[in-house]
Amino acid sequence: MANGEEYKNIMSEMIKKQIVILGPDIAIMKAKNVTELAINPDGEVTEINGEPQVALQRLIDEYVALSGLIVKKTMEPLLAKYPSVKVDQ
Amino acid sequence: MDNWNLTVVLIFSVAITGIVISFCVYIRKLKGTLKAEGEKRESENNRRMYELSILKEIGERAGYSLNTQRIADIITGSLKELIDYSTTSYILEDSQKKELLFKCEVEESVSPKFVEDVKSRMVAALSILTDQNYQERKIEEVVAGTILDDENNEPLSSFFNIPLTVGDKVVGILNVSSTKTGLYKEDEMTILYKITAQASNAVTRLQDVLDSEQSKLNAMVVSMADGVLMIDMENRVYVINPKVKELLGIESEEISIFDIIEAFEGKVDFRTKLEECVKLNRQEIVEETYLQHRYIRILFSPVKDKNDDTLGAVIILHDITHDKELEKVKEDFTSMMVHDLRSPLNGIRLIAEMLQDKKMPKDQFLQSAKMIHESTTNILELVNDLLDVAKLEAGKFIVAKEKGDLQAVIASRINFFQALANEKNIKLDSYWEPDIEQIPFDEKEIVQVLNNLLSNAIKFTDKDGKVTVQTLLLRKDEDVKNKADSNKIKWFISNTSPALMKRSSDLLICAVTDNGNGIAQEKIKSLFNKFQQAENGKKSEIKGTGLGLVIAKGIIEAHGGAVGVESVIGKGSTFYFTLPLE
Repeated sequence: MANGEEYKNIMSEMIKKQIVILGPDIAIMKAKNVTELAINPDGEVTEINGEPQVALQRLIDEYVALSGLIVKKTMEPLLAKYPSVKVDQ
Repeated sequence: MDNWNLTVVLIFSVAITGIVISFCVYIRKLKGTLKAEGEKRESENNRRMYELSILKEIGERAGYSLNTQRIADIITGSLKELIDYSTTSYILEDSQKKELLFKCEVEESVSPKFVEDVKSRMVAALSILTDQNYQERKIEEVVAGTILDDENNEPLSSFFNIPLTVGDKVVGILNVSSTKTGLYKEDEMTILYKITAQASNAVTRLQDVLDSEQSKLNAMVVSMADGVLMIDMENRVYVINPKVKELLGIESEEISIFDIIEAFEGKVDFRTKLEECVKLNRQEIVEETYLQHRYIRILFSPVKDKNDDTLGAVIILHDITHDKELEKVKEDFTSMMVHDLRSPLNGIRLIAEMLQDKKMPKDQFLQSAKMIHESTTNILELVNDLLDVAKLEAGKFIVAKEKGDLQAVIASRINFFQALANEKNIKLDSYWEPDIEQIPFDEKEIVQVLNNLLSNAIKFTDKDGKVTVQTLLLRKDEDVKNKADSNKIKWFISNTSPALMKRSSDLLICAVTDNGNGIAQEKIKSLFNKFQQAENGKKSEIKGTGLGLVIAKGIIEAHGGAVGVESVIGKGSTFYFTLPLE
């Protein structure tokens, strides 16, 4: 079972990756739509208010809704780094 | 009372005024809400119209070409209506040329550094999306629009990238950039992602339809025995089947024209042949080239559409290795036949010269006459074999079948070959399944077949060996092994022997089995081939044209039967033939 810190790390890495792919403005704006997350201007997740698993899923959904399943593929290496973190396929 | 009335009127007036004011405020508020909603709806409608117009434009301008560059041009070229920006750009991957195309449309004058910054961010994004390193990749660059300004120091302050996909493959990235900080609102950016996604979906659907149609064509091309390759006018490999990869020894999945040119390097000037074919609109043929231990014939042919416009060229690679081998074997066969005729003829000529000497002793005269007889017999045997083969090949070989006693014919042949078998102390016997009725066959021709099989068996069996002729009746669905076991027959035939599988009717099987050295599997298939058999005959220590088995096969097939061989090295061989009962 992943702890809160692991969720923070994976989500921070995810946002930073999307910053490179999509650009910083849109990547951070979309991340901020996830109300459970507090995010600093560098895209770092500083706080999770709520269930981390739910927040992570919502973050992924935000990016997938924006640019399709292709973005999900770029997240696979990240998820592989954190095997205890599970998301919907 | 007046005061009371006045108070009532006053209160009433205040209430009415309050109601009127509240109503006015409500109306004003309602108007505001309606106006805001109207503006929102109008804005939404405008965006929807924009979406539709973009999709329509893509449909009209890009047509059905699936040209991603045109689609990128349309989207980036139409953004002015929707959004403020300094540059719009796209980067596309050309997998054929193995390079990237970067195109930047400058709306507001920016510095070259700004453009460079945009490009490097797009390359970084594409690298992550495709999991490939594009840093070293050649990038073709096109910058258009407003002139770049070296003096302009305004940096890249706002940008966003939109991945461009077809199916599940990233084909490029669109980019919108500005010198202004925090310029883009979320909904403005989101709408562009949405439009791009819809354009991608439209292209993907079209691609799926084309893929579905093309898969039928591909299935045909893939199954072709020849290598088939099509190169389009932009030197892209449009069609390629696995045989091309096999013939050229290429293993990579994505193949470009450069891989093909490299494979032909030093053998065929592929590029020149291709250019000549397309420019001069004519077929180009490379009769023969040796590649990857094979001989290949190459045909270049222009491909045109219904308007006679050239679409590219199709290249057919035909493996002629087997033809070349056959050609050599045919040449060897002819040489051998000429040699086999010339040797005894030379002998006869020399003996004839000697016979002119009238003083020749009688015993030497008789010896010479015997030699002439032997030589002419050999020539006659060879000529007869060749005539038989020629008749078989021309389909002029006719058998005259009559119901007869095959058992008696076999017994007669056993008797005939007994003396020869005795010379090598070979045990020669036979087995005939009881109760087999008479069947139709051409006795003269079957005698020839039995002669051939028995003489071969005795020739190739060592001293003190054994040769047996066994005959069984085999019903259509009968198990060959069980039938042989129940008749206590030992041979090398099995249920999987090709001539016995998928029998359509009852038949008679006659097998000649020896306990000689056996024949290697790779040689068995050439036993009934005219040219290869002659080649084997040439190498063999035992004299003969080697055409006997070829003739035996022709005779049996003319009877409606089949021949076969099963052998185990070191144990022996079974040569057999089948004959239909009717």
